[in-house]
Amino acid sequence: MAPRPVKRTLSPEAFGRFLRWLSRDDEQAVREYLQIRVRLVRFFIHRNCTNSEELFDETVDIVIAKIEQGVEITKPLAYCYGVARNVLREHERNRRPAILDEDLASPQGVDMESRERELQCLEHCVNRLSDDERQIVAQYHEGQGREKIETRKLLAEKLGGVNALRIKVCRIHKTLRLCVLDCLSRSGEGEIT
Amino acid sequence: MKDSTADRELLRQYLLGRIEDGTETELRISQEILLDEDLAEVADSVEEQLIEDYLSGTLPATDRKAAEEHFLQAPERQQKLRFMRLLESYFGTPQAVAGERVRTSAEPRKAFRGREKPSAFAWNRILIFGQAAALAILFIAGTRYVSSLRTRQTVLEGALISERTRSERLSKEVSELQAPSARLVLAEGLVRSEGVIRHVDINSTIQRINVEIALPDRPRASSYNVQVTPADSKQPVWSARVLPLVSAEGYVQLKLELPAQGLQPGIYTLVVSPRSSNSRPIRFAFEIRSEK
Repeated sequence: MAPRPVKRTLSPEAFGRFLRWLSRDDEQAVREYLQIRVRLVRFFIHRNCTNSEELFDETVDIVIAKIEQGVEITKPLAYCYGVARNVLREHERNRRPAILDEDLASPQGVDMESRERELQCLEHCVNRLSDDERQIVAQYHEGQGREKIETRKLLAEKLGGVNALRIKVCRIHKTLRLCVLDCLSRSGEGEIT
Repeated sequence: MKDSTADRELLRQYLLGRIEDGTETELRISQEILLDEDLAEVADSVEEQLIEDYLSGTLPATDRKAAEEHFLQAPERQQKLRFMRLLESYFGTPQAVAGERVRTSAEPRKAFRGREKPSAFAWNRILIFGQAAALAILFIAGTRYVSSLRTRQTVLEGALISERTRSERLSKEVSELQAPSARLVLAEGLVRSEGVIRHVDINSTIQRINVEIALPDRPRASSYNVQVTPADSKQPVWSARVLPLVSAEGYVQLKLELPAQGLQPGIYTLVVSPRSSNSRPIRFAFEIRSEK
């Protein structure tokens, strides 16, 4: 097995300087940092990068260097985004064509104990949803083929259209996914197989 | 850009990596998503739709190729796909849909929202302990940095150990697969139509019995408890929890391996009890015969 590349992280000093640059107020600095982080990591994922968090750290490193050179920056998010685009361009130059290293659609050898634990966590999380949300998500996944399409049509009519349905379900899925990951990490698993 | 069908199609092309970096369209979409959380949410739902279509096999071949070469390369999306598979396997059961499996009482979602965005209480704490929080963040970041250097060696050693364990497990599985076995097929319809008891012949070289149980007319449960008990006893000699295999047509099948050692010739009862379901247990009888 080839050794895994070591994930680079921001140094504590650099991170501290970045926070101070964002705001003198600690609470505001943390809030702005999280906002920039979420948006830029999402940008890198949307551009199909496999190491979004590392690219974000690289972006922050460059921004810090610019701050120390005395560059005047009035809009942190916009500036960081501009730097992130350059980081992406550099990353694209070195990107190699990739193939999936596993069959994600129908994986082989899923550990049954892990799967059972995941289902238990999911059940726990589903039971924590509101009645409405539980009904929506259950109906959304109900049935197969034509029956499934018809059920979703009816659900979409109730919720104001197909796009509204998709967004609603996406929110519920996100809630469930975070809950399941949390549940699995408590049981020492931490990953969905 | 808004949540219209045309815009969703454009977002779909963007997410599949079909819109080249640096073009006017790509710049516009990236910037709008960056600044508009509502649009980011629409992009999330389009992403989910792609994952669903990929899993269900309804993605056109060209999109499937783009998904595999670009879209699914990100580990975050692979995690979403695994989760979608888990959801389908959970809600695909009739029990879950009928509400038998899920509780009906409503509970607040505060816990989940808390993960997305810190609560007012959390922010108050940050306000009160502002300086301390900043120091704590610096300390954590510093600790991570230093420990990442220290743990690099440990991670590599851990990976090596896990690789060795996996290799040993595979060797064991291969040797088990090569060991002599017998086969027993049980199905409700089969037993009823033949009116005879199924039997399996074993000898001293047989180490396990591969049992296949067909449950064609049964609603699917998340898992099943299976117990094997000699006909003249109430004490099970073997039991296990088994996950079902479901065909494209929705037929449920269980596959399990029964250790042959310790099973004496005679009649046995095999009881399959669906978990998380009100369905009654299903009983099968079979005979173990000694082969000379």
